[in-house]
Amino acid sequence: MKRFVLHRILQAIPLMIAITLVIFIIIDAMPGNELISYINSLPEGSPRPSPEQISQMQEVLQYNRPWHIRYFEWFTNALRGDFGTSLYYRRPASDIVGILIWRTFMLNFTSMVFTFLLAIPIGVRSAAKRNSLFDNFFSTTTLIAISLPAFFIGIYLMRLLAVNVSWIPPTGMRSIIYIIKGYPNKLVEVLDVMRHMILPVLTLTLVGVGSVSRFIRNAVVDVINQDYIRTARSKGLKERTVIYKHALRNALIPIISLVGVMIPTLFVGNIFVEAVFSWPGIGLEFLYAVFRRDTSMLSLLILIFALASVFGNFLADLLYGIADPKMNAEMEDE
Amino acid sequence: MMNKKTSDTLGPWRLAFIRFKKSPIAIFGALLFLIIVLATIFGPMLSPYPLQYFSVVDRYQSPTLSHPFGTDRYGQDMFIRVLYGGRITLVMAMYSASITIFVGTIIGTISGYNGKWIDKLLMRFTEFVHVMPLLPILISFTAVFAFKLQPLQRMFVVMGLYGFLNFPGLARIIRGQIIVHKNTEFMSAAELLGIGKMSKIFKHLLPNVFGVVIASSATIIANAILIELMLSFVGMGFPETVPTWGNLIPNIRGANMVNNSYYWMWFFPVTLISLTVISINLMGEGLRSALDPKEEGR
Repeated sequence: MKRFVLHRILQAIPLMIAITLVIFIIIDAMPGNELISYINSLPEGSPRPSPEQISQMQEVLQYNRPWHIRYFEWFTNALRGDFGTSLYYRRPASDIVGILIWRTFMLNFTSMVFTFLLAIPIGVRSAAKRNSLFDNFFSTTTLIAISLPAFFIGIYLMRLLAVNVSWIPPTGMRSIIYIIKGYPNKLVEVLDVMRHMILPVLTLTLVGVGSVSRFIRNAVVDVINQDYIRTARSKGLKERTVIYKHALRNALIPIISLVGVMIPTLFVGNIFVEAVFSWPGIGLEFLYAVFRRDTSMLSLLILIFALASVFGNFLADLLYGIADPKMNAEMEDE
Repeated sequence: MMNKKTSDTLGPWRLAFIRFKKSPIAIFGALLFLIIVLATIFGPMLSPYPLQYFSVVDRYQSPTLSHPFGTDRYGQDMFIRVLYGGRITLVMAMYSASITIFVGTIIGTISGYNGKWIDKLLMRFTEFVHVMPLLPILISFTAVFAFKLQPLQRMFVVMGLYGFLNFPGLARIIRGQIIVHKNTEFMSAAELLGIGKMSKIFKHLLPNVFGVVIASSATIIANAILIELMLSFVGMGFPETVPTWGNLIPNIRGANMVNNSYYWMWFFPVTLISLTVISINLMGEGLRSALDPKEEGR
């Protein structure tokens, strides 16, 4: 087991380096640069630098060096924890991302909690009463939920709850009035942010319930087909006891593995849901960074996306291995 | 082999078709998809309004008999734009999906059949592509060609790239299937008969894997449609004037149509796209249980 973990970590390191290299080549190939798009984004009427000044600034910022030299510099700095400075924010990129990543996490963590609260009862009941009306209804609706992109559900919900009846604010994280005036106290701030979280959380939950409840249903069905469930039934135990005490407990292992695998994705979230609801997390920031050509921000953000993906894959192999003794044996062999 | 082929011997494809027919939801999905595809092909031909038809008088008309889906801000008929959009989006999705299927099948087969270092190398490459954050890479990649290429060429490059980067899932499934089938008796028989390597792969191994490929292709096509939508949604697909499904839905670049009162501007495109994706997935589910009977009983 220890060898397997070590082996996978050693495998992941060249993978990450290769990904950062690919990212850097792509960012370098983008037309324009951070300075030009920053100057273009200046408000109308403000003084603009002359072409000589621009070329001078580019000299200072060292944009005209070839990409491999800048990559090498970025890489050595990144190892020391310095991911460069964003020209737009005039602050280190890691500072900004450090704030934004928790906003994304907040959104996704809340929706994951709700997802599992809803998906476990649906999944277990569908498995217990296989091919019943309940099962067929939910297997069709969850299929529809997973086939629709998250932002479609978002648009429908926004229209329904925020525009037609305007119970909840459609977009953003804070109300404009409080952004201007500032919050009177902490409680008002928390309530305001929570109100803004309702729509994105609802959207992410609906999408999540689709796939998670199907996963849970299949996990429980696998257990129900086992011999010891037949034994439990033939002992004359009540169906409820069989399902909730014997079957669910054994199905919990794959379910907990799923939670583990989902944890890295909580920090990345869904770019498009954040874009629909203008939620200021790292997904929306990524889109803005592409438009701004914010090199240091882009490379740090894609590094985080890649880390989450590599780590998620690693956890999947590890946790499903623990859950499935057959795979566990294969890992020992390696 | 001696007895004649009687009418009640059923080939694997016929059996799969019978299983497919048993599922009403899959039939419904297939019919719905067929109707949508036919409508996008023939609908614009039957329309009285050409694609570039502007009418200032008819701006923001709500749905009527002459404009079933209403009109947009240039007075263009939304119904025709939605159907034209379907053509472009579906062609793009098919193109991207065919690249995925081609690359996935080739890599999965080579890797599974050869084993040894070729397998190790290809699987390492597959893992590399698999862990790459797909959407961020794709969005950054689109920005690279923002000004260098025509929009249509750019979308072909980007959708092609998506098709390529999407191969790992299919390649892994096919590799697994090939490894299973490689060690069966009929392959040993083929070995003993001295059949060539190419013939063994194409005539004896691949037909056994086709079922899995077809079952996976539905999901691949549906995802490719969604990628086109998502790219347009963040303002990186076709320019706004080209009616694709992605451009017809409200996006962060244009006016926020969700907030104004012209509901038909987003409702009909969004609903039609949803129906298409749902129908493909329902069909795919039916195909999977028809072609992969191991899943039966779930």
